[in-house]
Amino acid sequence: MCVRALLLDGSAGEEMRPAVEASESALREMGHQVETVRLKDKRIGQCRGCFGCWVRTPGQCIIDDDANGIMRSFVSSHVIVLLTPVTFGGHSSQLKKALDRMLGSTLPYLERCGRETRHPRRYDMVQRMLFVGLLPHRDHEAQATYRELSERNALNFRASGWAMALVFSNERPEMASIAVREALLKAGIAP
Amino acid sequence: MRAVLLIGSPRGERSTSRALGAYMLEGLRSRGWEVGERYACRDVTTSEGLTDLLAEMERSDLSILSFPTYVDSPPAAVMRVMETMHGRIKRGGALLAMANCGFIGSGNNTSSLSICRLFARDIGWEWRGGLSLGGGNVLAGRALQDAGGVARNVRRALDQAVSALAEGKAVPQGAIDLLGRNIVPSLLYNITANRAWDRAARKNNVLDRIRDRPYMEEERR
Repeated sequence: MCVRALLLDGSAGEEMRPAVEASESALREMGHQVETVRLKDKRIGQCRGCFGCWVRTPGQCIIDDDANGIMRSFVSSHVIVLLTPVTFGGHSSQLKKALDRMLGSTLPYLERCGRETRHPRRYDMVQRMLFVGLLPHRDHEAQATYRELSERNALNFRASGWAMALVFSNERPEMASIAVREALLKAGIAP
Repeated sequence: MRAVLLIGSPRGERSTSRALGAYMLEGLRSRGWEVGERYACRDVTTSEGLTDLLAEMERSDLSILSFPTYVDSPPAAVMRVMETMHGRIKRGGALLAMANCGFIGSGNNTSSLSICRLFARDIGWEWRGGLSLGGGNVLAGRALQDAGGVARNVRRALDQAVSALAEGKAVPQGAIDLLGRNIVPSLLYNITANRAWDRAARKNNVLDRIRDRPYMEEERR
């Protein structure tokens, strides 16, 4: 079976390039089909919070822009890799804009999921998620917040496995490759 | 003293974020504060809007950021405001963040509020605390004064918070805990919410399509 991997690059410039290239090459070496989307080059409007994707045009956003193409790839990929400069412990606004528009990949209903409440998935695709965050240097508070957010995102999107990789601008580029490869294994992403 | 409310919901005036924030602004106004309101989703669309917003936040003694949690963190427009402010803010200030979410558990706002706290840290502002409300759909954007008994604890918590903020203090833990209680029992909330989604879909004549998988169908073709 061909495993499809979608990489969403939420950087504003070239700062994520080592992490993006490390993710692409590690996944390709495993034989996976990789699609990388540079979000800054896409026309993506803000989620309007209208819930049209739930109760007006189920599964589809009413805004006609590039987010709909990303949704198509998002729901049909086995591996989702979210790459972002860690922004106050969270995702960049660029990546967040795309994630906010993925609401239609879930159903509106509320159901228990362990001790939490979550929305059921709209699609059956079993997905694994990798979160790759870039920090200028070690920052324990930001790292802890990013880890918590990644865990919650993985739960929200009902990922069957997930892991987080941190990359630091003040480290050698090959460290990005090591961090990404370790995280892929931890998330259960294999050839 | 001056306070500005930054509303982070794309639903704007009709949002629960605005209802919560407006209640706090009214409390501060009654204590002699000057108050103002801004909408993040409008301000981020132009550089003039962002510049005006930053100027208003800089000249305020307290900024109140009220927003819905989307996918476990503040909406993109709020993140954009934070990114823009970082590095451009020259004057000190104080931030209170108030997050609401559609899940009943207020714990679902934890990551959102941590992000706001780190934002305050990184721009050198005082952190006046994070307030978290679960089950925000119950309020449905209604003014808290008109929301009846279901909003009693919400009003009490925000009254306590306003008293502290008006004196330049952080919100007390008691107010955080009170607002963090389930607004209605969780099972009741989930059942009611699920029926409300069905009603909304039926009204739009799409109840039989509510589980559609449009992109999977395209793939099959």
